[in-house]
Amino acid sequence: MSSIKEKFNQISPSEFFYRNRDLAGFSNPTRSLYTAVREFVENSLDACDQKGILPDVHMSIKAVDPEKPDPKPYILTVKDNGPGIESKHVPLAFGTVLYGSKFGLKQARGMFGLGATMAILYGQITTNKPVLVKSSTDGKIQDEFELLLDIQKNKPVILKHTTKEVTKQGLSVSICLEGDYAKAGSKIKDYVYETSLITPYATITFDDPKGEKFHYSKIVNEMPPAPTIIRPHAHGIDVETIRRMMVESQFEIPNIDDVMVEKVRKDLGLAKNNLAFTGIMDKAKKRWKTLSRPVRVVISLMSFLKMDFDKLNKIRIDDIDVPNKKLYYWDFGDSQSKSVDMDPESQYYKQLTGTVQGETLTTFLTKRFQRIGPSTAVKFAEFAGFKPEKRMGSMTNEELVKLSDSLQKFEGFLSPDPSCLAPLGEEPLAKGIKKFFKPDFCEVIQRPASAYSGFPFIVEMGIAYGGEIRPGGPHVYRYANRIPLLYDEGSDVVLKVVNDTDWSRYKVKGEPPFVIVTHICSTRIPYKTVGKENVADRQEIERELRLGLQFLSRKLAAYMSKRGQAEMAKKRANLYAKYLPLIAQFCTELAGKTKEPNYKKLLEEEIIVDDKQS
Amino acid sequence: MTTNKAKDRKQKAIEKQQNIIDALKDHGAKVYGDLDNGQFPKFSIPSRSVSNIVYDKKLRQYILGNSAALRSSRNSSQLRSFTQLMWLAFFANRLTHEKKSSTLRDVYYSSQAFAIEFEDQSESDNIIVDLEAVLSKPREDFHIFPEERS
Repeated sequence: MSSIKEKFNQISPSEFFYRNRDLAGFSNPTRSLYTAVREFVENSLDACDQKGILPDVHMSIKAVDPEKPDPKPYILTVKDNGPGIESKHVPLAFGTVLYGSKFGLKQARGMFGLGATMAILYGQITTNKPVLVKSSTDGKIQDEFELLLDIQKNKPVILKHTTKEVTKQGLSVSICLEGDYAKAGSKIKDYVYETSLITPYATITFDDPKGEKFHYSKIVNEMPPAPTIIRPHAHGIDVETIRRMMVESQFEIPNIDDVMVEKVRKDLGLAKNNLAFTGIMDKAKKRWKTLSRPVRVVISLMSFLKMDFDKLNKIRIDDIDVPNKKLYYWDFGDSQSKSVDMDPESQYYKQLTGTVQGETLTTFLTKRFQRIGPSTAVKFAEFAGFKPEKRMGSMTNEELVKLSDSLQKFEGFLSPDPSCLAPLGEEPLAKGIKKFFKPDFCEVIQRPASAYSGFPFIVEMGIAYGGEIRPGGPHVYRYANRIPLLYDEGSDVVLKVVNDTDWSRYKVKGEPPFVIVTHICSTRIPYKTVGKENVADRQEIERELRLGLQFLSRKLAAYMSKRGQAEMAKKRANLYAKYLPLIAQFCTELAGKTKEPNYKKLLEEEIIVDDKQS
Repeated sequence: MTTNKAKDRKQKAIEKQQNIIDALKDHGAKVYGDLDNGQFPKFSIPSRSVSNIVYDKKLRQYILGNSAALRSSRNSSQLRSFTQLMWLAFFANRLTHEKKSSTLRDVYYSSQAFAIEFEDQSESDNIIVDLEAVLSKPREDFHIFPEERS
């Protein structure tokens, strides 16, 4: 037998991510610097998006000691004009792992507010410097915090907190971290460049450690419509989610206080006269149909307690034990816990269990899920083998699993609601592409919303050809939820679709100067890895990408053949311009004339024909 | 007699020259007129394919039949050879006027002075045959000979 006792202890989320930091993209100084940049910039953009502010993000990276060789400590500062964070939330938001405002079901770049804290954590463990946060929510007072993370306790440690007057609202975060700009630099520049393409409504500036400045002004002045938080779709659900929704769906037993008693009296028409217990019950029976749910619950409780209003004031209901049919309450007069039995045959019992056991299956479905109506709910209940009026609270674990399975399998649900998505829109996308690539030809498309396993998604695509685009295309720019994807291009579904395309069919040959931009928006992007760099080839997404690309390719082909015609016409015009004067010269001498014939008309005619063609 | 005969031959030669010059002038005038009227000039060139070669009993030799191809300056793929043909007519006209003679090879090289490009000599030879067909006259009539005359 081993003599070493195993020690069991719990670790905090901070500790977990400290030990597994490569999960979040902080595996080495190069990648870490890039990831930190991404996390902060994306947080800034998300914050501005949510409040409908046109983002103005300023980022700078400065070496602490420029003479040292890489990897070395850098100071990364990201400043935005967003809503800021309220002073009381700052320490928790930046000093706690898994604390955030992004848990709702809608499209955002980040999901959990994990990344920024991870960057801070990484900075702290590599340089042991605090994070500096400056936040102003009103544009008048700015709170400045210096924070460290207590990794073991997952709690912030405030080193310094000062306030000062400012003129601009916004948030500025500054961390010191070990990085390798020599290696990460090109990726970071690419990232800034590509981000500004997909967020044409944002102004982004970047000062790099070598003193270079990159400035991308906004090209459109309108924000794309913001996404809304919506209820989940039935196909994207699991048992745990159902359990959480059930907790929300159960009604609390109303707190029986003076206000409540007053309300019950009033609803029964007993505001003035005081009736004894039986009198109250008779009155309630007559008026039952007009009573509201809380009042009914109080009446039901009274029926088992056999108390009038005066007595009711002297107790507190503790628990309703449905399986054992007992009602527990605390009697203030005797200072002890008491219980009464409940008669399962009574109509009041049903009222109480209904309250405690929550909604019926059909109500639960129609109220808690998107796009399920009463008739679909009934059909589903039949499909899943539940009674439509089955109470959610009475479901056993096995039944919940069965429910969750059936929800995913049932095919009668409408496809997910895309209103939680925030595609960029065709016009801003086209503007961005035109501004960035200065092409001869540009076409964009936004595919209609589609869904994979309960998550809605929209594919947006653009194609651009010629102009200032460098040859050797197609160059593919991939985006997901407005984040540029830079790494692991090879295994991405977008590239798969692009590579499957036979471009010669679309009259694109050789080393063409052309660009493809794809943007996938979804409440959940099916990334292949945690690093969020490549999208898995889900069949539904692949299909949308393919259809989008085919549409754009056809447009490109039409443009290419037009372009070919125009080129031909130009060549022909050149031919005429070259040979007609010669012919004129020769025939003048042949015909024995001195003046050349007026052949200019023919040349002009040719040009007119060209104009019609192009 | 001999002087008469020689005179006769000389007369015939002069006539031949005049015929050629007239024919060339006719063609030149037609092209000139077309250009001046804003029309694309064209030549009708008798086809030299086997099917268009017929035996003439009177002449007791093979001659070209009636089928002909149109070479138009409007057609961009024929524009180049049209110009070459025009040039050759122009060149032949000069030769005849100046009573000079030239060889196939010389024609090929002379073209370069007029910005007329022939890929190789066989191309220029072909154009010469074209002109023969258009004028229905052998190339010797417009002073182009296969070899240098000594």
